[in-house]
Amino acid sequence: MSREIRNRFAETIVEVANVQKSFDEGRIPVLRDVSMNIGKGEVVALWGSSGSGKTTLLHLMGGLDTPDVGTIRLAGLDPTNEKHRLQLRREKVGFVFQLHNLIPDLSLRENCLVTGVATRADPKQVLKRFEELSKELAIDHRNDRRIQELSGGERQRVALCRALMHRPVVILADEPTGSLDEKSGEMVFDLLKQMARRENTTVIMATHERRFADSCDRIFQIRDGCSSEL
Amino acid sequence: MSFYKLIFVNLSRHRTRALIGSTGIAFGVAAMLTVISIVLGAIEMFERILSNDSHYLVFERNVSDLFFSSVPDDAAEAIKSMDLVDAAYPILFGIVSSEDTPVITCFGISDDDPRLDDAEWIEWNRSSFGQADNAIYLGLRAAEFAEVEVGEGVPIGKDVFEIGGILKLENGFENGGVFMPLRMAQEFFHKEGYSSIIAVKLKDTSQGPLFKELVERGNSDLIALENDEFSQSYSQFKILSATAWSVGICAFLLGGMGVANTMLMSVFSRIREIAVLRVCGFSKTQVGIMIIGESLVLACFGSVLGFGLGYVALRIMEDIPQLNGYIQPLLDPWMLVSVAIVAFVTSAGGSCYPAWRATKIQPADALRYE
Repeated sequence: MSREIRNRFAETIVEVANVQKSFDEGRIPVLRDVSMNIGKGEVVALWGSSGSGKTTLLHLMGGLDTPDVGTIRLAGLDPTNEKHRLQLRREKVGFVFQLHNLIPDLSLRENCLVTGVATRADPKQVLKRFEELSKELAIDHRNDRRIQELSGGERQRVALCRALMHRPVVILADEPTGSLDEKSGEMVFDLLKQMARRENTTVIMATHERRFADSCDRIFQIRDGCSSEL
Repeated sequence: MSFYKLIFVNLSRHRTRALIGSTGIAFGVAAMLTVISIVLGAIEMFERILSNDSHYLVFERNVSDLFFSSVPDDAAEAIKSMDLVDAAYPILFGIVSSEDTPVITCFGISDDDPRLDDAEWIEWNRSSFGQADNAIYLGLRAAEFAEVEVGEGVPIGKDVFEIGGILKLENGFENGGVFMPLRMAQEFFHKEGYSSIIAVKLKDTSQGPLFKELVERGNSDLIALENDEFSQSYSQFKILSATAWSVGICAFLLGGMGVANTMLMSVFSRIREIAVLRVCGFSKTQVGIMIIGESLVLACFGSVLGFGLGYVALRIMEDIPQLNGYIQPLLDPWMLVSVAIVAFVTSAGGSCYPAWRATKIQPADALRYE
């Protein structure tokens, strides 16, 4: 079965309906009317130029911000609800940022175990999961290194590892290749896709680079605050 | 990786800032420890003066200070003559001054006062007390400070007294004081026929309530209190203790401000990082606890450092010649625990606002702007 057909039958994991968002008390409209449904296991690109609202949309989906108008459901949870938001971050969503946003002075391993600290998960299980992921992401030889000692590509792989630690159903990746050179960017993107496929995790990736967008299952263009599927 | 390790790692990343915060608490602990232990020591010394070989104190009812208490000699005689009383020692307290020492505590005591037997007589001897006219007796520290010897004259107030003997007493106040025969003290302080208190030793302590009743029935202006009862009710002790704790807590408030400043700076410099923790699933409560936890670790280090500093300060003060004997700090375990608790509470209190600020960090805002 082709990916296109499979996606049509996939369970919808993210629903965005008529979302609007502005900043500075409405003076800066960013999202005017965004709607989309994304199925489980899909790798989706939010493609658009800088400042088009891709990051804002990801933040709204992950419950980091709230929409002015419209509704969002992620894995059946409402990101505007405080309780749902915490559950989303702890169980359903993993974030990967353009700037890796790792905690300096913690080691690679400790950065990845932070999610387990938040959820008070069984440390043995968390460690086991980390060891599997770090091996697959080929960073296991640097486990005890501090973040400052890692290259940009390695840091982004650590960020990916951290995002996958709690087996999220959706990874929200905000320009994960944006701060990397071409080769490292491709490697991180390939790893992101590969891991998502293997774990049947949905990936929603904001990018301004068409070549990465073209490699995704679906592309939503964000332009003038509106979304359209290409 | 644990929550606790995260707290330590956060502090270790800004060691200087953490050290400054801890030092603020340490000074608070040291100040509180020093002031309170000195005051408690002083109170204990005074209690020992009063309770020397006695069970009960008889003094004038409703006086604010024992120095103002007046117990008539006939009341003292009546108490001595009670069947249930083994011994009764009238004492007259007074304050005298000499050329170099503006305040010296003077004890007017009877010839049979037990402290004369307990003292180590450095010059002259026990039997000399009260034998010579116009002779006073100095505690060893008072004699050393005044640089006088037996036989020399020492001006006190308007009179010049001859040193009749020098005695070493364990109690710092007594060792730095002047002893006079009771009659001489009554004349000197213009309180003929009166003493300040009567220290009473009973034959059988179980007869205490009866003794109290007899005293108060015999003279309604007097009150008899058991030594412990007196210590707990004497307003001067309460005032001293309250003052010491107040001074200590004020010192702590400054330390608390230091912690608040340290933690606030810490939060402001980690806004993005705290946002990332929120993104990784930390609840607002967890973030708040993390910040308060950091401040408690500061309090822990500060307390250890402060106890060390305070202990050294007390030892140094004890060795200062001018203070020698007057300072006998009392390091009561409960006081140490209380100081530590105040340190932790102050530190936690100081970190409440920074913790609140940390919980208010909006991840989207923090991550949007560099």
